[in-house]
Amino acid sequence: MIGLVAQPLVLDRTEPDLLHDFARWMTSEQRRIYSLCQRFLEDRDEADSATQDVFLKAYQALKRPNALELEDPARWITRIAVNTCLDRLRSRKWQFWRRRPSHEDEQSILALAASRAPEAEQRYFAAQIGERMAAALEKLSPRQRAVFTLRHFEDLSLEEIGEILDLDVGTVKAHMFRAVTKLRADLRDLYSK
Amino acid sequence: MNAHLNDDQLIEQLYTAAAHPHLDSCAACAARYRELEQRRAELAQPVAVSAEFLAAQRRAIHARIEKRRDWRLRWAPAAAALAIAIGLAVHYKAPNPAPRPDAGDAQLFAEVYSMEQSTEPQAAAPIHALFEDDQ
Repeated sequence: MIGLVAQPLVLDRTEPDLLHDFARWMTSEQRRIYSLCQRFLEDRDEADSATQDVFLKAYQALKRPNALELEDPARWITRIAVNTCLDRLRSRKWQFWRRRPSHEDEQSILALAASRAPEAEQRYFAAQIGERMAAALEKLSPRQRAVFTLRHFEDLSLEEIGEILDLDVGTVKAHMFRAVTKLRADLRDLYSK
Repeated sequence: MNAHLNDDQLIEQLYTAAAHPHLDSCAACAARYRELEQRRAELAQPVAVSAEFLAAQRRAIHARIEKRRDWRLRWAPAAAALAIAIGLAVHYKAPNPAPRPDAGDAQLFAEVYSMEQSTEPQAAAPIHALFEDDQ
């Protein structure tokens, strides 16, 4: 499980030093942010592009002369990532050609299925679970998806999710309840081993 | 004793933190709930991604940061020069054209009078030029 634990962000404001400190901090956060984008978007290329956007936005914000000191940089970058992914999910509504997994993803799953290696079966089932979860998440609205993803994959409390999405806890609960209701059959299936 | 919680209720508890006091008093349901928590942790394993992929991604981010900086450096002087030019143009606004010294009231009235007296439409005047003798 990925937690919100990363290196603290200590920045020197002169540009070469800022870039150096930023690069170090980015390395500590990158895998988590990419995973989060991948879970939201369920597309490797788009998650890659979104992750780049997230860190670019973060750098632009930190570079401003009046940039505030960040109390919790991990939560701050999570918030940027969630908003970036929500924007992409909303614009995706019009992209009907995105209904299938990418050709690359299909090929890698087929290769795993054909493999006879001992760990291949486990990896194949993990990939299958991922696929099923992705298909289930397609049923949710962007906001429900954000709430569910942050709870399921990041193990955040409803209060923390509310802070990231700028929603009160009651609204987060309502979104989560609707998401779980929509996913009930899929979740029951995933939780019964 | 209350009835045991079913799978849907336990899953709802897992995600929405709904209050089910039964969990505090029933060891069997509490054990099933802990199993579900463990299962969720298994399902939420990090996305498999190679170190090479992440390194390439960092290089791409760095390149985009540099590109933006280059763009800014290239266009900043041009934008500053343009802003100064606009500022100067606004500050030293061109003066209004001075009134023509020969355009007196008498001449104006004479021109208007001759236009009113003429029976021929004004637009037909250039046609006469075609038939006039050059010599």
